[in-house]
Amino acid sequence: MSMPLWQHPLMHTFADGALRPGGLERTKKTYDTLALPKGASILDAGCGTGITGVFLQKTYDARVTGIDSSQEHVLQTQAKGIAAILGRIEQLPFASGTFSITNCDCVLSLASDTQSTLQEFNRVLLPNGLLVLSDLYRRTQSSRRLTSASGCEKKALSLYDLKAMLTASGFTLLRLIDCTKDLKELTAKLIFTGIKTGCSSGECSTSYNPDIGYLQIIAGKMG
Amino acid sequence: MSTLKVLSDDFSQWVCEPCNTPLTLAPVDLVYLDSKFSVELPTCPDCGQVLIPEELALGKMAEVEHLLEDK
Repeated sequence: MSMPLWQHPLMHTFADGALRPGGLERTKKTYDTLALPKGASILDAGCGTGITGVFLQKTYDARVTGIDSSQEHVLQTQAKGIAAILGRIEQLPFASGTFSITNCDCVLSLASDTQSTLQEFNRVLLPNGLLVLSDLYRRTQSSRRLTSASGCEKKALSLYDLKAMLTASGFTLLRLIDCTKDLKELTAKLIFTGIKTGCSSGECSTSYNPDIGYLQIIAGKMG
Repeated sequence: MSTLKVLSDDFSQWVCEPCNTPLTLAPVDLVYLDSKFSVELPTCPDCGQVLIPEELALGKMAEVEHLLEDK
């Protein structure tokens, strides 16, 4: 069985702890533009070990709640002083209209049902709440080379399909940033350091599929 | 930006011929297209010349160049 990437002993040599393209630097660039009020409530969907939650709580005085399907991750997040519960992002155990922001980094492509997950992200948001989402996407409509895709790459949506799902889930797309350069640079660092194990889903490799890109989306909850 | 350890072999016996100084591992910026990576490479502490082992140039560096070129 391969070691999850985030547990690899060499990971600390290049990652800021947030193992995703762009890391916390990307998170900061985005949240700096949102002008969050003090105490804004943020749901970190798929919170992992709580690195992003701690960053958001400390940097923006936000109230962060994490949810993750891994008990180990939940405990690690709680140990960092972030509220976190065990659960699935496809069926959020929160009342409707609870959060100002649903944050989801590099996790949507792991969901068993993308559409219902986006609907859940929308349901738990307050009126005018925001979805801050980053994930893999298919850079082409063609299925060329995707037969060689592995792990979460296989479930990456095209931009067209993702936009349609966001709209169908009650979101208006406000901003879209192509972060494929971040994905390439993370892959390059994995190559340089010789880390060749699978990612946290246990399936990804360090090889780069040029049909797969990375994006960040900010979407608003419609009326 | 943290410095990446990219070499596993021991280069401590290598000497910079013009300076007659043993090479030491030092952070070096590798820049290609719009990306920059800080990596640890054998460097002459006197003149600053850097040794890029052939295996690194033809292996990891070539692989990274290929992916950054989007081909």
